Amino acid sequence: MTVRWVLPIVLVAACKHARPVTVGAAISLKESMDDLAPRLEKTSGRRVDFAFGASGDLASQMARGAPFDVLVAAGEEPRLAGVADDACTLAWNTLALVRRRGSAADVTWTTLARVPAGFRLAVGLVPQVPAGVYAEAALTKLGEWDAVAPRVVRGANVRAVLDLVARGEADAGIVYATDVRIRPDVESLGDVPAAARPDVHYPVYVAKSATADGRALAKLLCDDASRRVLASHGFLDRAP
Amino acid sequence: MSAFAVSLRVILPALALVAPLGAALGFFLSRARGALRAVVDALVLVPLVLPPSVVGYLLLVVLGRRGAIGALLERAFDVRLVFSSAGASVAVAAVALPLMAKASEAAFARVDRSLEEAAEANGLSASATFRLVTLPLALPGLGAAATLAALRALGEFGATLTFAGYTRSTATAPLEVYFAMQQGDDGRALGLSLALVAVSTIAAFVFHAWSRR
Repeated sequence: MTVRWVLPIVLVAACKHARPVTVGAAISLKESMDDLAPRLEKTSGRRVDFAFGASGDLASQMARGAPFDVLVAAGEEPRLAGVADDACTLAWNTLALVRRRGSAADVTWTTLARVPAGFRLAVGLVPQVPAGVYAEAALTKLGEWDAVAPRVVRGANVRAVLDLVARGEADAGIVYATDVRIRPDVESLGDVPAAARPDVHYPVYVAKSATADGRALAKLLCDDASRRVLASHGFLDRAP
Repeated sequence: MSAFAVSLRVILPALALVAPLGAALGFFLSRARGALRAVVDALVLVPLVLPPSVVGYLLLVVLGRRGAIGALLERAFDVRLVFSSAGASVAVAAVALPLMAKASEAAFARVDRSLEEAAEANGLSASATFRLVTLPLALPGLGAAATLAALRALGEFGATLTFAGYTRSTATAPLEVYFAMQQGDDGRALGLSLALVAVSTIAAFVFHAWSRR
């Protein structure tokens, strides 16, 4: 008897319960977003579902109609023109050359062109992994790219690049400075030299089709409390 | 190199390994009894039902540069499997072998034992009986098994990506479909997908023809 009454009520309640806000985020933001999520959900009163991945993959999904309300990318995504608006720049970052902790790989940003034939440098897949695009631009500026290009192996996102280095499948790799903090088995060989430093920044895109909840969430993401959380994970609050 | 050329370069060495090894395993499974058979059967079946990501990850742990066997391979033979077509072949072989073994087991099980017994009663040695009676009778079934294994190899995605990575020499047709799609290159993704559908359909007819003989 009760079931006949309870079931419709539960169903109606479930439907009325607002649909979650969907946020795509560059995978380099994983720990920061995990940290931010409780406050975002508490303040907005909405469930927030994150999808992490290479920014370019997420942007092309969004451009083709994936129902993201918000996308925090690791760089400008021209494919989102007409699909989303730029709400703010959430943080900045820089690149680091890394190796497995204690490995013998003896390279610097300016000696990569002279690595031996068996050497493997892990770089993000271009054009969908911004860290790869930034790395290629920096190495080109340093005059190293043409010589090191044949030694490059690709990771499908920046954390895959980090993992290739951690497992020793690549002798060195180029990731974000913040990525080094999450793997104790990886060490930095130095940030990219200032002269070749790309403008790594994280724009917050709001879909033109976003719900009011989605727009409100983008505002929350852009506020000072969110920026402080990112700073605590090593992100920069202005262009270096 | 085109995606299908890479696929062929990956699959052919894998099949050269999988076909004889899988047929031998199938013969053993069809004739053996007891605990050893049960153990081998389980070992063959498990990779068939494991997620390809698990197969790829375990291969990476064992055969990666820091894996027990991977480190040895590099030191002794300067062989590095990750990011090489040989690595992709290993991943594909690991996934196709169980299928070859199980289908071969069925092929050998269908061979009429009384014909083998008659051959031996007429003085043929065990090896001659196998060569002249068992193998020819099982051959169509083994052909069907090999076709099935080749199809599975052609369609392998997860273990290859997890273990061998995505690079020029490992960019098989299934991997290219995925990465073309991710980049929004629908023309390429769709073209490769339709080609895979066509090749698989033809192979399905081949399988059918083998099975009916």
